[in-house]
Amino acid sequence: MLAEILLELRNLKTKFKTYDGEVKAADGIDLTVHKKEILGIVGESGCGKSATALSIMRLIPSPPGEVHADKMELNGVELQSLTEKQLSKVRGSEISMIFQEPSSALNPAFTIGEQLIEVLILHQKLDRGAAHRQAIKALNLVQIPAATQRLADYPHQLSGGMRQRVMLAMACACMPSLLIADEPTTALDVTVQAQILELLCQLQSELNIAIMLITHDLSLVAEIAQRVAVMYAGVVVENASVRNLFAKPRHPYTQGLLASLPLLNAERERLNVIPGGVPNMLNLPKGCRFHPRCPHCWQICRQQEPPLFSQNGSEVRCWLFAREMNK
Amino acid sequence: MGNRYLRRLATLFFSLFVISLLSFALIEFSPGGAMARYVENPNISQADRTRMAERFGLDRPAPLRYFIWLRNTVQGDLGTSFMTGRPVLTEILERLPATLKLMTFSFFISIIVAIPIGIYSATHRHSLFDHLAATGSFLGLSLPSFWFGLLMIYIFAIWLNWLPSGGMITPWFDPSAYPLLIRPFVIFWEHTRYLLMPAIVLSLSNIGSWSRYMRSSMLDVISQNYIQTARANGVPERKVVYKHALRNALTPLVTLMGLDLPGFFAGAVVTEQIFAWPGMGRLFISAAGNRDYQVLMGIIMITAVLVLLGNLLADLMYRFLDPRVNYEG
Ligand SMILES: Nc1ncnc2c1ncn2[C@@H]1O[C@H](COP(=O)(O)OP(=O)(O)OP(=O)(O)O)[C@@H](O)[C@H]1O
Ligand SMILES: [Mg+2]
Repeated sequence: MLAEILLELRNLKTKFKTYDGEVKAADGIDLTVHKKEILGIVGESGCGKSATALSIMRLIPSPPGEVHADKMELNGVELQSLTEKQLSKVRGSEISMIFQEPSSALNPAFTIGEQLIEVLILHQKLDRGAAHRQAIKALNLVQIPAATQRLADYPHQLSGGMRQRVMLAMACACMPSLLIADEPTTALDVTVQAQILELLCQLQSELNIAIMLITHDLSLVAEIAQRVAVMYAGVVVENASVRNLFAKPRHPYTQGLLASLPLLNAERERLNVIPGGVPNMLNLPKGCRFHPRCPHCWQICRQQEPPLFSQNGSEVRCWLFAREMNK
Repeated sequence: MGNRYLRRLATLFFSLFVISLLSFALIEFSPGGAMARYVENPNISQADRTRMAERFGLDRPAPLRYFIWLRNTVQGDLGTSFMTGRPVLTEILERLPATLKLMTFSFFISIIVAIPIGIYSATHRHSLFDHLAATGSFLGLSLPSFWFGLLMIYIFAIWLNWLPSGGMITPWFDPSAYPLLIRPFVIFWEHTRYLLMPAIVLSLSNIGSWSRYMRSSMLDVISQNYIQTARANGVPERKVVYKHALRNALTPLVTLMGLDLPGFFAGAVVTEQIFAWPGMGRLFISAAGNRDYQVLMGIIMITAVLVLLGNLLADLMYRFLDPRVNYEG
């Protein structure tokens, strides 16, 4: 099944100029999102997941940020060529985003209804009455009980899970083709997490929205995504279908991540953790960024950054595959 | 909710009581006395002074005088002025409108200038404008208002001769001398030209502190997650700033305005003096010079009531602006 390409990102570089030096939060990222698919993006804290997402939304503040990509096309439209005005038309209607902290992601000074209706009026040119009805529909869509009453509530009157549902309702109210969910469940407790994930799946299948699910939890991805991109220190190190990735993780970092999953080795006392810590983004190691922590490190890894090797739709950035895969 | 406001009201009356006690003690302990201004007068003998003091009830011990004052005040009688012999309340009510007019006008100038400066400084951080605004507000806060006042009088009244140097209205101003069509504008300008300089001078320190506060409040709000959400949902930047951010940034400013109110009254005293503005502040200064204690106490109490009511209003505004504050509290 060859789905159409929705988002194509080539060689994304996002830098932040700070007092201590330049942080390359994204250092040559290639990503492809197909229509109606769920793509998981996994990586440790600070590896540049949010920076990548915000670069696509064109929401990186400048200064200190600087974004450049060879290609950043959504439905064939180059996002980097859009004016600020065109961008605000695209945001929320073609591509939208929800964030990690539902408690602070809604404006405390306005009711749920005011915020939801504002977005609907902005994008769909509805009158107040129609927008109001549409807002109730959106809340029903994300399974918020007593939707009409909830419209008059302020965010602080709702629970964390409810707020994340409202965020989803706002993000999906105008039927975007891509939803970026940046750690949407990290701040929620486990049962609510499961409900939100289920809701994401349902939105994807009912509204045909493609979802880019950002998380540092591989097990979430295993549950709902079709493909995964594993990020490490500003680059994508492996990109494969969920099935392939879990059956045959190629990159040593991915292997380490899988080995540290609690579910897969419940019988063990201690989890397998990757030795070493997250690299300092200001001072990245030479050669492959992962080599100081890599159990298979050899000479070339210390000297030269590996390119992405690919085979049958899987991609891996590791010298171990230089022979068996294509550059 | 009712309970809460009952408590506020009780606190308000208690504050008024403490203020009256402290002010009375302060006046009592200050040197000189109501009769001091007659000491140098050869036509008034010691015996005359004693008789006058008896008449005014000044020979009684201070605690007794305080209780008499308190009893009368509670009944709405603020006493009579030693100087003019007229009821204190009448004297104050004659002057209060002028002060309120000046303060209201100045308050609006402060808001209209300070808030946009704060917003622009926050959205254009480290720009030339931001640096100029920082310097300006520093000057506005630190240079004394009498200095600004005299400078303005020198420039606009004496040198350019655009505005009157003091007073509230031209005594012989007669609107009926103007055609009906332009009369409202003439009246408006007649009031405004007298108000302009004192109101600006009175605004300076407010503009200085409010604009800085607005800037930092705005910066704080702009970095909040919900601003990111608004942008991510396609809300245009103008609306993000002027609707989503401003509404939240204004809330703490309202509290600051309430806290600045006493300083505002103090500023009015100085400003009225510079510009010969016939308000309560000038009455206060002349009453202080003449040791007209009844008038002093009256003005202090009326000001205290206004300040406390202003704070109550600020509190209500805060509740209105921030739905998270619960009413039970
Ligand atoms: N506004 C900014 N200014 C300076 N540096 C930034 C800024 N935003 C992000 N960074 C840096 O960019 C790098 C990547 O940050 P990013 O937020 O994308 O990480 P992340 O993968 O989303 O991590 P997390 O899982 O903690 O959310 C970090 O080193 C961070 O310090
Ligand atoms: Mg993040």
